[in-house]
Amino acid sequence: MVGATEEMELQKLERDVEGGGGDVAQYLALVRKLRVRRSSTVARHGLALLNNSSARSKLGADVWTIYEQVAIAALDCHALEAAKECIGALRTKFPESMRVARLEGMWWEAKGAWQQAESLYSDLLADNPSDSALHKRRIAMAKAQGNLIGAVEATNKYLETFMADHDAWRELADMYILLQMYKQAAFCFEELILSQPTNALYHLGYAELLYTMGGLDNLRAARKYYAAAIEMSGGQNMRALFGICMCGTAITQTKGRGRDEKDSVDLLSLAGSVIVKQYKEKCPNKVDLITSILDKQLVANIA
Amino acid sequence: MVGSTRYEIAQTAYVKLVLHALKHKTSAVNGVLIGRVSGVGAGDSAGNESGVGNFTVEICNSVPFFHSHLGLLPMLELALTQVDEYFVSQKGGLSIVGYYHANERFDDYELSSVARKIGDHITRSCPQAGIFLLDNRQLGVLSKGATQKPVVQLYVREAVRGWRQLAAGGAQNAELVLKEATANSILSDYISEHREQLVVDFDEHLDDISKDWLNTNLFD
Repeated sequence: MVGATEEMELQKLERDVEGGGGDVAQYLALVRKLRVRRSSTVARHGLALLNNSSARSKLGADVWTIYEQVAIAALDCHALEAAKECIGALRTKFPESMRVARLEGMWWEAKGAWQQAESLYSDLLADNPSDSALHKRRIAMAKAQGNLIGAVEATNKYLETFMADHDAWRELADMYILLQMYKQAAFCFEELILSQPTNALYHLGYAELLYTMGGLDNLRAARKYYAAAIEMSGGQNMRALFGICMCGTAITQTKGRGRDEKDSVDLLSLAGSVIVKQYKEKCPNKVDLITSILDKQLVANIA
Repeated sequence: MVGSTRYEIAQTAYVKLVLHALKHKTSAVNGVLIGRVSGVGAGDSAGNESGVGNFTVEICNSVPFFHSHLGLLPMLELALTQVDEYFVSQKGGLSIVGYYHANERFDDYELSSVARKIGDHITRSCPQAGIFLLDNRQLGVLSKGATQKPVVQLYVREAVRGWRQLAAGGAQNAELVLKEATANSILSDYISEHREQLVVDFDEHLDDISKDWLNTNLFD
């Protein structure tokens, strides 16, 4: 996840680079730092940079990191020849490297040659069993072939060893949601929240999952997690604010014993007023629309 | 007795949904189609709608929804509420008349359960609603020449067999046409201009409410 200031800096550098000026190396470095996926721009301008021998010589030792970055971006754009050139340059410089071999595996993946990629990764894993990136390539291959169950199994196995890998837990949650295995997804979120209790996005994600699962208990829990997300994000997160309102409506519509809690209306109207204030500031043409919807939700709740 | 339904999609709606998918090449995307349904239902003598008859579904606009977490409910329900409320307030007789979906992987031609569920939900208020699934094969050959075929596959809901693709061997009693003959050439032009970068979906609106999911300036 990228913060707002960083996103703006990235966009500015991207505009400069696309416009023909700008510092390509600086842009590439920021893309690496933020770990964002901008393959088309990276591939196009990265290749131009690498093919320009005077510019390339100014890069110093960074040039090899850039070769790797551009190779992966080229694979993402299915520019297999260009990727092959970059990988070739890396192979020449680092003939015994496992990291370069991994790139070669990715090249096979991009080509759709799953068998070759798999046998290459197996060999590499035999010598490097603790390389997390190699394990993740296998998971990626399963996903790419539409084998979601296989990807889930592989991820679970991966997490037995690398249990602190939050991104993997998050990815696993997403895969479970795609398979509609909500309880298993919930377990992943619980792990994430346990290990990073102040991360608003995990609370938000869990709230959305609970709402999707439905039922009075889950909706009430969702509301709590939405409230936590609002607190952690300083009331700035629109999804969490709207989430409170959606929960209010859903709880009202779900018949059940003891469904009325006096403070729920307060929470609902508070969230509503924050939303309206934000819309007045940033999206005035939708204020009437939002107010109308929130009023209806509030009325339904009180009734 | 089997009726037939004609789905006519305006280039505004059509180009927007394809650009939405192209903006987010690495994920699945979805959205709704806006328009009106006209025609005669084959009701019984008591005047009850049976949903069968001869209809025309005119799709004049589309609203891009999400490019992440398509399977989660709360923001989907919010989006449906806001869009529904908006078009009702415009008093133009427009409402949600369909749903579009583009799969994450380029060779995935299956209609996912998420798409089916959302389609089911929409058919409750609009029985003739169709699901439009982006067809990557067709999109791939778009640049090769002018074609009148839309780059989407239409699925219609049949009473017994559920969602069926409009194709030989599939659903028969429907047709999908592009309203304007220029639709695909406009689409090609916009793609080469990278106009997909301008598309705003509901996801982006939630991240920054100053961005407008109506995309009023997209076709300027």
